[in-house]
Amino acid sequence: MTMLFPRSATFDLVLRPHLERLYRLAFRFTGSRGAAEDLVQELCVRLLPRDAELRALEQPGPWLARSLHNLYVDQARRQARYPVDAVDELPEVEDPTPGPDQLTDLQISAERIGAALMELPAEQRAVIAWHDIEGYTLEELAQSHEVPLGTLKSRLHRARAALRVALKAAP
Amino acid sequence: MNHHELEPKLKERLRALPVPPPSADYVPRVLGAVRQARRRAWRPVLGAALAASLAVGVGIGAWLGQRTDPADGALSVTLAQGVVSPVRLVFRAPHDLQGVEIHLQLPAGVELAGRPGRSELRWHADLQAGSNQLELPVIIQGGDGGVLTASVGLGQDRKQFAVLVKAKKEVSNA
Repeated sequence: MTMLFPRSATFDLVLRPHLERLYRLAFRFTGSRGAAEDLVQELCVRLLPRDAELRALEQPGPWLARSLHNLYVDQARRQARYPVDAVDELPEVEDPTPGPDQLTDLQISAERIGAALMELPAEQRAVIAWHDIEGYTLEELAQSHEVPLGTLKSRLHRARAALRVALKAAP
Repeated sequence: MNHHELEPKLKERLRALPVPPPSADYVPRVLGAVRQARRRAWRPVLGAALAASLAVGVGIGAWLGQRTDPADGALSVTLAQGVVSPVRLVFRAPHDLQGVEIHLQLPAGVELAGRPGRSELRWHADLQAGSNQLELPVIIQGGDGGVLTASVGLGQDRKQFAVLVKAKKEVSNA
């Protein structure tokens, strides 16, 4: 006898608890409510052929979040037409931009921080969103994204440097 | 000066950056898009001989003492309250049917485990020739039960079946 599994209902059931968190993460990436909603919707539609894989996961949250990140970066790359993480493998260098003490002296508004974040390349914005905003450790990210820890450290370092520069330049 | 760490105040402000709530229709719109995409994927299949395809029989019963109710001839099942009980529906299809819509309507006080508060569920599935079993984790949360309807649809054609879900009466020792 064929087991008649309610596939789409289960797909909905698996996705639904994660939609709010995915939206939140997508908003961190995109900085726009509409773009964030569209990104999540696009993700869910694209995952449809992979519903069996999704349903088999004990904890689909990290898998979904990583898929969202990959989709976001892919889209950003296509839009930007240049590699967003070309600096990933460069060695770390001393950051010439203002240091923490100088920055904390500034009265930085949320709008200004948000605007500075949006100036960063997609991959840099994403790593700040994951690590500095959402609180994932680099080790967690390295494991879930299957990216070497050193690459992530370098990426984060440069993202923060770029954020400092953007904050300083922001009006 | 340590540039490797983002200073706590800036990190604190980053974490405090507001995220506006999504649109009110965000969740239904996303899930609706998923369903629509699934239907689009099936469209070529649905073009073929729909009326003939929907010669689907259904068997509801044979488990948990499910039987034909002598009063009105309806299929019925008696379940203990507050306990998840598997109710199995068996759909018999004459041949493979793809993209069949299954719609469940649950009576008041009856739910499926894992779907609290949902009185109606709708999804798509592929039936294979022969018997196709759908196991429903039914739980009677309150009341005496009622009629659970299951319908199977393909295109414009639909067949509906009903099963009476009764709550088992508590036996008093007094």
